[in-house]
Formats: sequence, structure tokens, C-alpha cells
Amino acid sequence: MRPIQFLLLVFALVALAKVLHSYTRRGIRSRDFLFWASVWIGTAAIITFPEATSFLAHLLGIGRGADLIIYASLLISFHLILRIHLTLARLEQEITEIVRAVAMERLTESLDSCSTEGE
Amino acid sequence: MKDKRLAIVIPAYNEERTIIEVIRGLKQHGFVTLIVVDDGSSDRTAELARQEGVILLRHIINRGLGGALGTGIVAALRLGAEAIVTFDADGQHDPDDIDRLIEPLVKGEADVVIGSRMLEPTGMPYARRLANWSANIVTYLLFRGWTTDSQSGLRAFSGRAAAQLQIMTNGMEVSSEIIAETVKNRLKRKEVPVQAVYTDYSLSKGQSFKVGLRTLKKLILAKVRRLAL
Repeated sequence: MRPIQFLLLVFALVALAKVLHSYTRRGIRSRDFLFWASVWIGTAAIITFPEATSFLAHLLGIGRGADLIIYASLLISFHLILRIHLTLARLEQEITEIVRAVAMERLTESLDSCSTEGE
Repeated sequence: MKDKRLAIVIPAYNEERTIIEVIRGLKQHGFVTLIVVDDGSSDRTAELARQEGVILLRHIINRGLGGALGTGIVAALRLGAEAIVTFDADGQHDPDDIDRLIEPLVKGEADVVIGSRMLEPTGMPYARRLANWSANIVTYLLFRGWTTDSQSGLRAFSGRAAAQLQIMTNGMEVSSEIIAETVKNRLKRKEVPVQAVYTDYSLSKGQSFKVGLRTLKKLILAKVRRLAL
């Protein structure tokens, strides 16, 4: 095993341990746990057996296994960024709904007090 | 139709310099239901509006134009409005234009009327015209709704049409989203020419190039979300 493989493997295993830790502490949902656990197990496997990616790359018509990894990680990263954007947009919308509800509640209160004053 | 059935929604964020004048102008023209949505202003906008005797709604934090318009429309519908006009708080609109704006609603010729500043754009700076046309083209390409002034803040909705609008965006991109909603809900849309009063102040409150780019980004994201829904 080359030094870089060792370093990357340690990184992947630490990340995996973190995922496990946050799952047992109920920090993340099962779906996210499965996703991230498979990401890091997959990463660890690729680091340990890099030849496997070359085999897959040749099947797909890509020259080197390393290139396959770069293409795949770029695609996955872009996908995750988009998902984060959409989640943020949804959160923004939910914040607006809360702010609106507070504003409307006060409107109802002031209208109620207006109508009692009129009586 | 200058009675209670017509609600004027005025979204306002840090407009203490103009809000009084805008409210008084509308009152002088006989409009009675004025709904000011103070969008978390840090200045005296809310205080001044309250002194002028309007229906005041306050956002506890700033949410942007879309959030404020949405709140104003919800409140107007709750108050039983049969027609809703949106009116900017920066003093760029002329209350005189409202009669012409709601005429197609009253006659049943349209569900939504856009007050277009671009039909008779006298006095509009050329840079601003270019920006507005770009926004119109983007709005058309993304949402298939053509208007000559997609970014106009002066619009009129029938109560029925307003109830159908699903506003999901918070910022300036709401203007294009409203056009998108009229297309989606097959609402009859019409445009009438309105005059824009351009002062240094109202120009500074409009969209700068940087804000325009951010709005473009948000519009594209809004498009993605609409596709996903």
C-alpha cells in the first residue's frame, strides 16, 4: 500500500466512523445514513483496490480508473449542490410562512380590537 | 370601485422617506383599504405607516419583495377584497393610474392587469429600459409568459385570480413568478400603460446589475423547482 492510499483510507474510515456516530446518536435519518455509509465504504474499497476502477473504466470506455472517479465525483457533487439549493429554497419558504403567520396573527388581533371598539 | 372591495397592497422595506407621501397620495385619490406590509424594516417605515392609519402588517424579519407581496395578498383576501392592486412604496407609481389599471377587471376583460411602464417609457433611463427588456425576455424564455414590463410593481388582480397565485419565491424574482402563475392558471392577462416617476431615490431602490444577476439565478432555481413540483 502506497502512503497516499493509507492517508485516504484513514480519512474515509474516520468519515465512516462519524457517520455511524451521528446515526447512533439519531442525528441523521436512516436514508441519509445508508447513503453516506455506502459512499464511504465504497470510497474505502476503491482506495484499497484501485484496479477495480480501471476495470470499470475500460468497460465504460474511459482510459483510466482515476478519470472515472473524477467524472463520477463531479457529477455527484453537482447533484448534491443542486439538492442543497432546493432544500435551502424550501427552508426559505418555510421561514416566510412562519413570518407571515406571525404578521397575520397580529392583524387578526388588531381587527378584533377594532371591532370591539366599534361596538 | 374605490370602496372597501378594492385593497391596495404596499410592500415596504426601509421606505421612511416616501411611505407617508405614497399613503397620502392614495388616500387623496379615494382609496380606503390600504395594506402596508412592513418587511422587517430597520427604519421608521412601520411607525410612520401606522400614524397614517393603514392596515399594517409587520414581518418580524426581512423576507424580500415576494414574501411581502404574498403576505399582503393573503391579508387582502382575508379582508374579503374583490380586487387587489400592488403598489410600490418608493413613490415611483402614480395613483392616477389605478383607475385605468382596474378597468379591465371591472369590465371582466382580464383577471390580472400589469401596469406597464414600457408602453410609454418617457423619462425612463436607457440602461433601465435595457434591463427591463432583458428581464422580459428571461421571463418569457423560462415561463412562456410575454409582457412588456415583467418587473412592474403596479399590478391588479381579481380576488379569484389572486387566490390562485402560488407564490414560492421571496425576492425580486417574484415579479416573473407572478407572470408564470398567470400562465399556469390560464388567467387572462392584460397590460395598460402607466407612468413611472423616476427619481434618484426610486432608481436606487430598484434592481442594480448585481441584484439583477442574483434575481436571474433565483429565477432559474425557481424554474427547476416548478419543474420538480
